[in-house]
Amino acid sequence: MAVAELSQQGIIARKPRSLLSDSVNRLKKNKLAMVSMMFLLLMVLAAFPFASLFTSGDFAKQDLMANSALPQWVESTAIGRVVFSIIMPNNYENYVRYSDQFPLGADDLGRDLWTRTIYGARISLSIAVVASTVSLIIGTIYGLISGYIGGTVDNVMMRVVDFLYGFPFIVVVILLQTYFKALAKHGAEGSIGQVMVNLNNAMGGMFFLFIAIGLINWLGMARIARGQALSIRKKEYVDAAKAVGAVDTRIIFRHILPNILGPLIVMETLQIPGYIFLEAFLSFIGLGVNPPTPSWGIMISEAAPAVRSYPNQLLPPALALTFTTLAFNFLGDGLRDAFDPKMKE
Amino acid sequence: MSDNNKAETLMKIKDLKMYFPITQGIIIQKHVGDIKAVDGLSFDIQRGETLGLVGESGCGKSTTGRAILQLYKPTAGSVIFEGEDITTIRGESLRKMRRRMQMIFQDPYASLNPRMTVGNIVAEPLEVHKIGGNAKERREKVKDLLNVVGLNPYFINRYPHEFSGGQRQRIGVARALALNPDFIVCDEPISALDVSIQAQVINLLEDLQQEFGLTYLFIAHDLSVVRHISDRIAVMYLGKIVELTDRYTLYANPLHPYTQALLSAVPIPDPVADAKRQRVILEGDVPSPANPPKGCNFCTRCPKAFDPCFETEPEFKEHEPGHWAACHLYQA
Amino acid sequence: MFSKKTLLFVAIFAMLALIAAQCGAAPTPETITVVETVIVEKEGETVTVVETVEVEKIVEKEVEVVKTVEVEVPAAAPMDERVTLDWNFSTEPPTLDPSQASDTTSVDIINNLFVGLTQFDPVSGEVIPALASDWSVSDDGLEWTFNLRQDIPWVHYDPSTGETSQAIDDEGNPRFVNANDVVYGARRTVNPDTASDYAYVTYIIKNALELNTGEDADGNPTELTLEDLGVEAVDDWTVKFTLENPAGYFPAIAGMWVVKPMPEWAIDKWNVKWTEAGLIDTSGPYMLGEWIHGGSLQMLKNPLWVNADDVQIEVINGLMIVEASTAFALYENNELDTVEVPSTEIDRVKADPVLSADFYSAPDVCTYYYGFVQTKPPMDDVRVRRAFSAAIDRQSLIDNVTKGGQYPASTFAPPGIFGAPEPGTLGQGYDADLAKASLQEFLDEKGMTIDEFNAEYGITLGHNTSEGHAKIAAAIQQMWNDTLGTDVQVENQEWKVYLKSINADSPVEDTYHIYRLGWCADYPDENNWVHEVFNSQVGSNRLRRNCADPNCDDTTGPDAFDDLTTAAGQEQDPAKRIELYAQAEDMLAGEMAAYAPIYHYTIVRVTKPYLTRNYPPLGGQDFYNWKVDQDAKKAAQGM
Ligand SMILES: Nc1ncnc2c1ncn2[C@@H]1O[C@H](COP(=O)(O)OP(=O)(O)OP(=O)(O)O)[C@@H](O)[C@H]1O
Ligand SMILES: [Mg+2]
Repeated sequence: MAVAELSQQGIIARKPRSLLSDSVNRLKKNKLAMVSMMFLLLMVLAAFPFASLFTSGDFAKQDLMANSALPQWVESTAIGRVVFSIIMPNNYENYVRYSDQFPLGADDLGRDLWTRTIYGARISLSIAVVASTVSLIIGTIYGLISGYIGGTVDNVMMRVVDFLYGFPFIVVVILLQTYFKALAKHGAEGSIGQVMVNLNNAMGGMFFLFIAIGLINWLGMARIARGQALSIRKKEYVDAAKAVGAVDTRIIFRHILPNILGPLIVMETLQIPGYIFLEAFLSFIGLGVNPPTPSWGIMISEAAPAVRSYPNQLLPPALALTFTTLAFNFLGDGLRDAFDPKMKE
Repeated sequence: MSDNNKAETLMKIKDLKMYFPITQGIIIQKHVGDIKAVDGLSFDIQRGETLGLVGESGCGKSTTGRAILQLYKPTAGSVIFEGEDITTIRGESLRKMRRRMQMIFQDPYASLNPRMTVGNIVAEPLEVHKIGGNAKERREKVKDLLNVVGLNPYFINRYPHEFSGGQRQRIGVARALALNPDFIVCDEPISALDVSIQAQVINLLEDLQQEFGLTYLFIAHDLSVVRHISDRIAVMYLGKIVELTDRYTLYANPLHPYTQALLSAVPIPDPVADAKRQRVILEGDVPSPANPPKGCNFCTRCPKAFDPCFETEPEFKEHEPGHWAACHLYQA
Repeated sequence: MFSKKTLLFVAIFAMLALIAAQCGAAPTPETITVVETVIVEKEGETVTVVETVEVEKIVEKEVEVVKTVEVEVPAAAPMDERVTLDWNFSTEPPTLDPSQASDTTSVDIINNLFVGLTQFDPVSGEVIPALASDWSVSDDGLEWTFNLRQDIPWVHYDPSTGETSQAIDDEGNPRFVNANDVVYGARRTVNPDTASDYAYVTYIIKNALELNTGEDADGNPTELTLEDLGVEAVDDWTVKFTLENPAGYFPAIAGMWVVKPMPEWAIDKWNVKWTEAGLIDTSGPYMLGEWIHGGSLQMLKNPLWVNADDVQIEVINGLMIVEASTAFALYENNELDTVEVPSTEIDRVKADPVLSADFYSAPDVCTYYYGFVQTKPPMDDVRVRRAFSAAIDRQSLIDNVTKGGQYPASTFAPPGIFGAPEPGTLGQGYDADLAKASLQEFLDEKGMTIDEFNAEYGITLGHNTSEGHAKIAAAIQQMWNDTLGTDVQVENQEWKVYLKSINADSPVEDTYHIYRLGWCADYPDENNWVHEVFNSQVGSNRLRRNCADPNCDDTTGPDAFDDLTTAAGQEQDPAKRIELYAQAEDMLAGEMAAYAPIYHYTIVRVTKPYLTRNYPPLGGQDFYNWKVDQDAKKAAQGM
């Protein structure tokens, strides 16, 4: 038994390597993905618990007299002058004003761009998390059920998805908003609509945005989940579980779900930049959060008209948006490579 | 291996049919035909024996095994296990029944969930049926089972992808044994394995049969493997059993032209005898199970086919005691 | 092509070689031939080229010449050589139907396409002759008689052929704008079936109110017919209007778009489509060229216009770019000849040596205001309204947000309107202390804290979607918050939807507490301001004053303010009218705080040096008075 014992020691010395830990190891080796993860982590910390520590804390405060002001350091430091001579129009020194209240300058209502950008991250990151979670949960469950049961049920459930896919997204968002608002106005005190609208107002208009984005995007996830479930349920280990006498819920949650979740999470991560842009877009066209709550989309839409005179106002939200979406993209790519090396091709 | 003196019937299969519907249409699915994967099988399985089931790829062997185990709901026929027709029971009683019969799968790579540890895979049957005591006791039981199938119990926390094909098949065997079944369907348990490992697994199965008094339905697609392990052998062609007898008789006196053809393809150890042998080369392809020929299923390829073969289906009859065949050559 | 079973369609378009190149000489008469398109179908055998020629021969015999009319049409140069104005309409004009128009874009186009009885002098703003060569009023001030010119043709332009022709009547004679067209136009606007939003400006005409609402003074269905409207064609070239009350400003109304002469034959023939390019018949200095809905609208100089020699710009290419900032970028790129300056660009424009030379700023006869919906609590309480109005720091808003040198408003009508008070003297302006005290009084009476107030009422401010309105709303939202501590939600809607939700007849739950609107002069008289906009019995009553119920299905009748504006309209003595209007203005904005006047507009534009344009005192765009130095423009564009 000497050989056996040797191998036993070998086994004891080494931790079992699950597919998950393998994947995590692979992910750790992906520098770009790790940097992105760090960036996003910092972003979350900055936007949520520590936002008020290093900003003025009041994103709505206006100092109309200091509207469109550039930060004082632009005027007083050489580097500021050099950088801004690149960003700004030629004769900008003739028409801008400066203020030392704002580290990155003020927008056209004299609000601090730095504070607004940091607080704006709350919206984008919340959208990223909430919309993707909603979409992942609804889509996965729906797709799993459809794919696992198969047959007529599958057929009907997928036709429903096809039907919903045909809906024009923007119209749905508008309808949802008007519907709930109408419900709130006409409904009795404490009715569902009213509760929802109050919640929405309390969240600065984010609630309907969550619902809208989540409700629409689970469709794609449902299709993917169904496809995956269909292929997994034909696997022999599912038959083995049936032969052993496992019930459907056990098969779905122990055997099918763990095997499709990886690719689904990866897919979902790769969708997040899309959600963030969607929020930016919806806010840009006035269907997003309510003013004066800042979101990067709103900030961009407010700064865009002034871009010829004050391009500096566009930079903070635009750069934040770019880096965040890039980070989610890199992280998604990294996750995909780590969890599903086959998908890489 | 010894013949069973006192034959006790464990399982009685009567006119078993398994049709897969062919449908068309996107929204409203229209039934346009059937794949007759298994088309009227009748045979018995004796307690403690190994019944070999051979046939070409696609002839319905796996389907037969799954239909017997109720992994597919049979289209027709009955499977009587210890006097009870298990095709009619459902739900909880079916789940209880499953403890008595298990399956070992063809593909050791596809039959183990890659997201579960070996311990969880082997413990699953115990968990499902809430037996084997608490988690710790179950773990001990799993370790015992791994020992029994010749795997190091320290592997218990490993994942399937860390094992070789032979080791994985052992895990599959351990899972099948966990519930102490009476009957196991071995669906080509070795055909995906290296030749060197095949023998190990066969030996393991034989040892286990001895130790636990198991009954096997052993599926294979070539006769050489079955011959070694089986007591009796059933030959399948296109969803039907064409011949069934004990292994000696089958080799010595094959009745059905299809069996004869299969046997002539099996290499035999004596080169002289092998050279003398008359080889029967089958021509043409196996017809589609969706559209089997009229008359005898084998008539399109049978070298000895004559008129009745194209007209009526031959009856599956006992020509000598214990030797069954379905062929017009012997009908009269 | 030549296979046996081919069905051959031969469509032959008769060539109209009518516009020969003119060598700079005086225009010579041309013959226009109108020919129908004939389509011939030939079936069967193999068709060869020779046979096709035969088919053509047959066809030639069948061609029918419908009508030949001789009209003098001066030749036009190729499109790219014509003097061109590049303009931005900012939006798709909601309509080109004079009876339907109610917005500045539509009206600007209509005023260039259709002649009116009168017009405003481009410099002095006085009412001067247009279609009417002169007019007179009866001694009681009720009957106005207009004598018409007889030489203004109805023209038709076909964008697909580039052909101009004069409209022809049933007898084959060319049509000129006459008294019947004026009568038809006025009746059409008053006809309730037309559903004109602006019909109320005609209410001064006898029976117009009753005909338009379909109810007589007692609320019974009217028994009058359109023939009873106080307008009649005395003869082909004389129109007589009969008024309800004497109104010295009537000649100005007579020139408004709603009573312009309209082409009855075209409207009968084409129905709602009659304003489309290629279908419309027009009478003004410009004709409607190609109209790509939502994209661009072209106007072409009318070669048959009486004063065609004075109209220098031959082509107006109008875009429909909504974002002022985008239009401004096109201006800087020499793709538009004149644009409004967005507030964000004003600082830079003033500092830039080139742009500052293009810059023009002058008072405009428009007022920006916030209305309080008075059936929606707490806006039913004058103290709350006063607080919200007085808390708006108009000067700070102008200096830091709108930046166009606008004038802070405390009353409604801007200077330049007859009867308008001097801004800042009457009504309600910025007064933070008053605002605080006023709201505090309300809160004390209700026993509420400001937080309870916010939670209880959830006050909303609505505006139509636009960068500029959003910015102003955000600034004022913050002023209210700073001064009063209120927490107002700002919402916006697309224009048409917005108009619906702020209408007096929309359910009160669907409307905002506070709505934004602007008002621009239609004619330079206070009647067009406090009376037509705010009189609860006359105007749209969006403020929902004197309502019988919150949804304002009916009013409880005129109040003191309503009586004042009505009396002012009927008063003959100008000095007394001014006095009455001053009282009304002061009462509405001050004592009643029914709305918050915010500022009087200014025109803030940049204009390329090669465009010489006019700023009519009453606003609008009189393209026919403008000049473009085409060579300088081409040079600037680098062509
Ligand atoms: N779920 C199913 N749906 C439809 N057809 C099926 C299904 N399962 C099997 N078949 C068909 O039934 C026939 C028999 O298949 P089966 O898997 O039983 O063959 P087999 O004898 O086990 O072959 P192999 O040796 O390749 O495993 C084949 O034609 C197959 O295509
Ligand atoms: Mg098989």
